[in-house]
Amino acid sequence: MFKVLNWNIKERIGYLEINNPPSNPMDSVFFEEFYWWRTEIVESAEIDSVIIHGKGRHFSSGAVLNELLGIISRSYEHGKDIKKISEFLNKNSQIFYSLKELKIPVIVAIRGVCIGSAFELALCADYIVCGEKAVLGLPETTFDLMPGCTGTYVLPKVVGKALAMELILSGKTFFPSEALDWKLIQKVVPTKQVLDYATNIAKNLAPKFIEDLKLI
Amino acid sequence: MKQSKIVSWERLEDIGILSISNDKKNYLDQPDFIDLEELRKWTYEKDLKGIIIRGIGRNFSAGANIENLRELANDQNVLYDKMNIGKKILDFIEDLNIPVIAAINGACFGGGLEIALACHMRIASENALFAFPEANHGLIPGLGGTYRLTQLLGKKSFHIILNADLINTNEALKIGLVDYISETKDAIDLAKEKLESMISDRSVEVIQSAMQAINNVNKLTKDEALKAETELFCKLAVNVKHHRED
Repeated sequence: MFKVLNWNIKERIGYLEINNPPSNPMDSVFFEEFYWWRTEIVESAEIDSVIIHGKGRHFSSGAVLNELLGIISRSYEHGKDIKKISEFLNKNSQIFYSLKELKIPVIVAIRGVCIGSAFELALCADYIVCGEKAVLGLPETTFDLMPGCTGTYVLPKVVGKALAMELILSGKTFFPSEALDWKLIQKVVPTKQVLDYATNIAKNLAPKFIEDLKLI
Repeated sequence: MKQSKIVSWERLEDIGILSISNDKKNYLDQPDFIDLEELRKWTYEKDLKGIIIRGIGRNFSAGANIENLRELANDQNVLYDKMNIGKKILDFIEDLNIPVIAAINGACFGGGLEIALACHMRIASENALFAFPEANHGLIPGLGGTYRLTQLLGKKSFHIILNADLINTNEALKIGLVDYISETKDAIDLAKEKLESMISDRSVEVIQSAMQAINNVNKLTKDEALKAETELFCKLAVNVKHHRED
């Protein structure tokens, strides 16, 4: 059904795997399929929770810059208007943020790299568990860009304006231990245990999950 | 160096330093402690990427001088107008689309704390002290401080405002009133270092776009903020593509 996503249900937990190893980039196919999964599949599935993870060593390296810049500049050259392409891309932000509108908990399980749009996706989840060696961050400004897929909105809500400003403007990547101190993620475990831990959390969270916790 | 009322402005390359200077305690004799139009001009200067606000000498600012305030209150209209201008100054600082850091040594009370709260980040030296002493005088913070402190700390702000608690730097860090403690005596050292890490390799345009998006969080609805973020991103993307092809 999907090219870059795998969707499996096991014991009423839905596993969404980003399947384009080794770096699991978020290209336009990913965004199309993610949109489809969110609007047509996840809500009708017989599940109590969702776990999102990456295939292999990494979660995801985020958006594919060259492809994205190409799409934006072609649209801009065509009509000299930023609004049209902006409206089109805003769909990606809305769909990431809409994870908060699901009535079941969404857990993100991170091994390896999770940066840029991938980290923005993670920030829209309810619970983040990381492997010890995960690498996190929003490095967009180091490419003369900025986070464009919910990051500038969600990060200040979670960690406050000062730290959000510092992380976004410096663009520096950081480790799970730091992210845990900032309450940006909820748990750090040995890399090999990430998915098992997420599964346990999913089982524990689902029955007592309070929807109100989701909305920030 | 330029001067407006009790505040001076100087440039250190791409950083602007606003210094409060009024006797030893840097009292804010008037709620409109700087001319807003002057401030606006300074912040529009070319290549400006960040601002540090500090007090000259050992204190940031001890806030309003209660004697002055009593005098101002003789004419309620005058006080009301001046408070509104003071609020506009702080709103302007808070809305700036470049990072503004308060570098805090010594006393940071009342109006001084209001200024610090309007900044995007607060860095204090070990000897800093924080308080809203207004309640001791039958007053409350009047330049947006009740709102800003509650936004920042949640219900912990009630205590600070109603009891006029005196808070030291370590406690301030623990509750989230300050973001960093400087190891040196003068908080401006760490403020410069932090600002450099955010702006040195960034263009003015990237800084302004990212800051605008971050500032939108408290001003726009979720849908509006996400829309604005995507638009700002697309504008930067068109520039990047342009540069790469040149």
